Amino acid sequence: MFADVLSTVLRILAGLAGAFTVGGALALLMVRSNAIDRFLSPILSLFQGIPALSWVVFAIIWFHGVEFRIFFIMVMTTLPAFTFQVLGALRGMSKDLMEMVFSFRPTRLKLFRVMIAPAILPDILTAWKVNLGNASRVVVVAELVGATGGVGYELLQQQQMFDMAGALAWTLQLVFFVLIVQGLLTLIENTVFKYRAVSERAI
Amino acid sequence: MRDTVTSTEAAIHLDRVSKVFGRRGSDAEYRAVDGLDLDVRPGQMLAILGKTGCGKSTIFNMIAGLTEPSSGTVRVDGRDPFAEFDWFRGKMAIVFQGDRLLPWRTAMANVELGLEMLDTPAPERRAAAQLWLSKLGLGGHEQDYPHALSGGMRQRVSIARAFATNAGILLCDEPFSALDESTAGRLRSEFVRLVKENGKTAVFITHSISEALEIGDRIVVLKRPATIAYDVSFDAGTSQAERDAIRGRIGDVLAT
Repeated sequence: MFADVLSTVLRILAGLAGAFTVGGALALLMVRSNAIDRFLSPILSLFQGIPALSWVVFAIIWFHGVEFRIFFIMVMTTLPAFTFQVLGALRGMSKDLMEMVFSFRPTRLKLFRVMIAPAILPDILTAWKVNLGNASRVVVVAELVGATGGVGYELLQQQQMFDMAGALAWTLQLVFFVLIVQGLLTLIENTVFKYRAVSERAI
Repeated sequence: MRDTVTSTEAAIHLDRVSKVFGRRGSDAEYRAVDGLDLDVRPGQMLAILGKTGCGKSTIFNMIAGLTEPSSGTVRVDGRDPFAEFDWFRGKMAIVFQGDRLLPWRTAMANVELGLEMLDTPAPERRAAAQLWLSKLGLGGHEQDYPHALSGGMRQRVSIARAFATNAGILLCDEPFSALDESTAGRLRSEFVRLVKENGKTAVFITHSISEALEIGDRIVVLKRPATIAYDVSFDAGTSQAERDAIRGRIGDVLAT
């Protein structure tokens, strides 16, 4: 049972990591070049409208390996959101602060370390939180493409046995995992963003 | 009283510099600077004075290497600050209009920023940051984040950040304009003392005649588009009557 949950968890994390890496790279290209932005933005918007189930069908037709199919589905369903969120974060960086850091003539690596990474981190953590929820819903569908383990596969078994209690148990395990990771991300936020001013009056 | 430094000995040299924004020949074309000649000698504190929109900040950005001139030559220490941008690492520091502190860094880490770019080892970096924070009366606030500091304290951190790199040239873009007059006055005095003590060449942008007279040992008044309308140098020996005359002349030039 634990092995099934673990394999689902690893598929979610691998898919999110893949989408974040590709999305981050695309966002950097888009922010540097208007031509690339004009080319990629409509494509990514189009991808956002494609249902997860369509990606499942495409993956079955295009690829053979089950794990690669699942990875592909996870990446394609979360890629547009990651790209747009990182792009928004990059564009939202303070021009004044950027100019100030530039005045010290940083190398590209130092510019990224002292300015870009800390400036976009809040948006990136939010993007991970949002996409984690999306990914946990998509992974179950993705595991229907021939996986022999995982929460999606087990849910399929429960459906065939018409076992409501079993289906609920598997669902809750996945939800429990999502809550744990969300909690971890919140913990990171509270530690990393302690520099933020807190108003005594709530919004 | 006009300054007569030659270009070869100038720390900052502008030769027929123009800056045009927008597409040439279109309605959007805007000439911010028009054929400006200006030399600043080493150790001089030049106050550039002018009304809002006269091109002060454009000149500032061209000297800082953040903007490229449309035509003419800008040289700082004999080099092109835009084309040879990286060469000026550690040689030029800027104090901006706002404090522009990185909110995710403590006061100490903000002051260390310029030294990080110079690959200064961490212990030396911390010692320098500590020293400058203490000099500016911020001892005990090293670990405070910017949001926990007042406007005046934040601006002092930004001054400490500029001085910590020990750059020979300081560029200041109305650094005290957002502060109340009493805090600004105190910081101005501290600033002048630190610049003199450390033998810096400083260019100070301002729109206040009083501030220019207090800070500069030379004042250049600009008219739109940035051309020199009045250029005057003075020193500690300049009498109050002469200063009053300079103030009156500047007022007349700005009014026309």
